[in-house]
Amino acid sequence: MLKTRVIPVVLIDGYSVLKTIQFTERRNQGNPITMARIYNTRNVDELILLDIDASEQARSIDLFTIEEIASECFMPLTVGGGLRSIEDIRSVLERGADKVVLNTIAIEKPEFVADAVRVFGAQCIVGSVDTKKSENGYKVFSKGKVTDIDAKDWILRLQELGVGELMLNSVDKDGTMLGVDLELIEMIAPLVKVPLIYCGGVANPIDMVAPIQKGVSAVAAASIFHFTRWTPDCCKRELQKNNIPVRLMESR
Amino acid sequence: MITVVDIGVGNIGSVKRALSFLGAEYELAQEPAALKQASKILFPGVGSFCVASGLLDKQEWKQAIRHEVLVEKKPLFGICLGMQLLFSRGFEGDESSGLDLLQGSVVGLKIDREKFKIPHMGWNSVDASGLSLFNKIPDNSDFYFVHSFEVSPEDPEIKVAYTTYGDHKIPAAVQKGHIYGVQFHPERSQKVGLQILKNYLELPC
Repeated sequence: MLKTRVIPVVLIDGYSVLKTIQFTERRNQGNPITMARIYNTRNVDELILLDIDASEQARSIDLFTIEEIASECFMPLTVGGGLRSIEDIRSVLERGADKVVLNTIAIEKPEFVADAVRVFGAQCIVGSVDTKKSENGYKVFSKGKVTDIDAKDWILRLQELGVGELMLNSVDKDGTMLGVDLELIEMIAPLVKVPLIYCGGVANPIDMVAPIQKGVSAVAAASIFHFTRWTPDCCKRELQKNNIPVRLMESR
Repeated sequence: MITVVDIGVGNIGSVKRALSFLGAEYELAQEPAALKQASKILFPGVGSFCVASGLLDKQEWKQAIRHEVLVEKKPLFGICLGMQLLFSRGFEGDESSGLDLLQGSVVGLKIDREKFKIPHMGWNSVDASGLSLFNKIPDNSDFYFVHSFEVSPEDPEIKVAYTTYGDHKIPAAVQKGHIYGVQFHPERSQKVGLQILKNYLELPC
């Protein structure tokens, strides 16, 4: 039976791990390689590593960091941040990423997503959407601003462009640990035919249950693992209690 | 010496790193002639069957691999697309031919697409008792899968281990004599995955 994934997210600013609140306020969390090692020993399902400053600083995520993590962590590694060309994607894959996250470039140049899918296969390309609720419904958030792109339309467009997986981030909930955005999930999940990762607001293992029940394939989180006693395995035990199949840490 | 076939499909970096981590010596074969020195062959790959089939034809990989496996009797282990390419033909993209070392075809996942998502992505358990690559691995261990196509073996002599997605059983591992294949990614499946690679490394030649 296919297990529901719980995915720790490691955000970096180029060098250090950090955690944001609503994509702005930041707190430093140390070294990404050390952190990846800890998650590796916890036998997590997958790791998402995102350089959140790369696009704005017009650079790509650091290849050394990816290579260091990949040479000792044998879990699926999903990487994003400033990837703007086929060559950029190729170099992170060569250093050990399995999947790449496209966000900013997809908004600027949607046809690039289709190119990347053609070259690397759908299974390799994750379309990521940052969303914020506004007076006119959920909009795509990019480069620190709410755009006029409708979140639902954009998700459907990325799906048409052929991504193999989608990641839905709630800017309003990011880092707040105030619970997930179920309204957003209920709107988006039924539309999505590929695996869907939700991220934003999880404070307790129980917060992961409803998104899954609403059709999300995997829940990603960061703050809960940085700031509370809960580990990915605790979250999965809670899912299991709710009859959601998971892969527990002692499974080898 | 284990030789890793690199026909240029997808990323074989993770497989190389896993072999290094296990302390295995390996060589990369970027042209068919390099297979002559191999004692064992590892054939990883991700991407499209049709594209890979074209690459296999272009450089005469097909004859070379078939010769090493069928005449020289060298063990061969295909991973993900590498396993799919062991079969006769594939229907991803245009219909195209595989290595035809195992009889059967590669077809789109036979699941209800309204109810289940494609690709089949994530950790899923494999019921694999009896396959030699699964030695020292607990029954029904979880492995990491990501694929949209599945093999459909047509030879009763092929041993098959399955994983279940929804109500459909997908071949997760195959074996016929000294030819092995897994649909999942052992190089991304933590300890149990590394154990699969270790088992292959330790097989007698």
